[in-house]
Amino acid sequence: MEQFTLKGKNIVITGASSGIGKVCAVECAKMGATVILLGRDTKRLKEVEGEIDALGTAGDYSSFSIDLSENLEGLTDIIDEAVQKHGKLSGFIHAAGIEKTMPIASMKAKDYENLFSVNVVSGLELAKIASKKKYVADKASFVYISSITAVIGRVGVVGYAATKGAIVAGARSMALELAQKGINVNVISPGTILTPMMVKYLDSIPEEEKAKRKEGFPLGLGAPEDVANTAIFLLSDAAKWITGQNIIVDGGYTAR
Amino acid sequence: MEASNPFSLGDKKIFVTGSSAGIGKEIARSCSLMDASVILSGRDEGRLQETLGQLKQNAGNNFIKADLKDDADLDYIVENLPVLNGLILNAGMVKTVPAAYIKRSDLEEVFDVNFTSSVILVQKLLSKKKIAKGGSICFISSVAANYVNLGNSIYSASKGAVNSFTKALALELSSKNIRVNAILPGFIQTGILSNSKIDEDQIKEHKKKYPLGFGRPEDIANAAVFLMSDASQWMTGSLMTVDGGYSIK
Repeated sequence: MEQFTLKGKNIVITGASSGIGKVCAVECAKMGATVILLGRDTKRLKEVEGEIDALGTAGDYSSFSIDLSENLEGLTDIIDEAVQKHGKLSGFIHAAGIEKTMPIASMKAKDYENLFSVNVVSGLELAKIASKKKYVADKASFVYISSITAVIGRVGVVGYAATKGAIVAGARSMALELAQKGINVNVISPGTILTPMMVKYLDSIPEEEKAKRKEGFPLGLGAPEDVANTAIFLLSDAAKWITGQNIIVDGGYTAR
Repeated sequence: MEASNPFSLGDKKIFVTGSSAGIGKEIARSCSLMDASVILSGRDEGRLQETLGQLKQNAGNNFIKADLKDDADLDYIVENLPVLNGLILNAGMVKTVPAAYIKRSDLEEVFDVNFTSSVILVQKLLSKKKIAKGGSICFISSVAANYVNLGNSIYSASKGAVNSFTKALALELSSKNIRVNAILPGFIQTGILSNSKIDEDQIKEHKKKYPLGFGRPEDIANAAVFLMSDASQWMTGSLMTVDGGYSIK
């Protein structure tokens, strides 16, 4: 059973202060990982620390406040400090991401740049830093959170979908390049997940639209834990021979 | 490990076809290590006995000797199985025949073992309500469904059929909350290989195509455990390639 745990692994999680990233952080800690939390909001990061403390597993953690849309220079210092404190990295989950629903006619170049800087560029920079010899453990696993909009169409998310597709494509080439370092790289593409933000959004729209949003998911909408458990599997030794893959976790949406 | 581990298979009854050797045997062993009750099936009673002896002790462990190509044997299996939480359809075969030499009997043989028998088994299990709500079905397909090798057209086509069926079945069974997924393995080093006619130079050449080297049966077994477990409870209709990076080039 030990191949499914994260004991002894130091895992960086971006976007750890909310949504899928937050649940990934707590669930990884539950499975024995030392988690290094990156997020924008210091207060909310503290809340995540509190949730990890409440697990009673006495798992170690650190958290760092960083805005990945503008402060990528700070990323190296954070990783350096985390490695000094906890030891080398066994992997990361890049869950940081911004969404923008807007018709293409209203999108500006700046909107695309913002989406790409957080969803793609920061994730690729993180891989560059985390794969450096002085920071990476003998075996490591990198996990990116994408979206099924990387492989299916949805009106209003042209920019967002493009960033998610970019991650799938980038991870494939990265997997080839980093295989020789013993690093496997994979992507999870979730369908609609009931994060607090999604729940709030669904509550704000008319019943009819809400039904439309749920339609197409044969198993209903997903929970953040569904993504977190897949990430744990991909970070664990059990998945060492999986690389360059886009794992679809979507309650059957794309099977149709 | 505590019961809340999402990868635990405690209280699950799992049936694995083709489980007296190779990947199937390792899948059975891994599921049992995660606390599942495992029911084996294969054609060779001696090897089934041996595999059964290698499982972690569990009162529900058992084996059913049967030939999946035989409908009467399939009925016998279904009759003797408990209501399952998990089904892993692993039995399969490879046959290398250049297209110009394919005979109807080759097609029938490969499709029967790799596709038809599994489909009929699923049909019989469903009609006898032998798959529990919340259950998980996993086909062992192959990366060869999408990335072909010379001479293996029938094999690839049979695995392509498995992939399509996986998705269609996922859709059909979602209302019962039964999940259906497939694992697409790359080249796995098993005992079966050492008996085969492929020569060592060919294997060396093939290995260069694997960024992470050849896989071990455990690599597929671990993925099967994940798909059987509640950790993948929202995954259905997914085709999971487990191939050390073979197919990404």
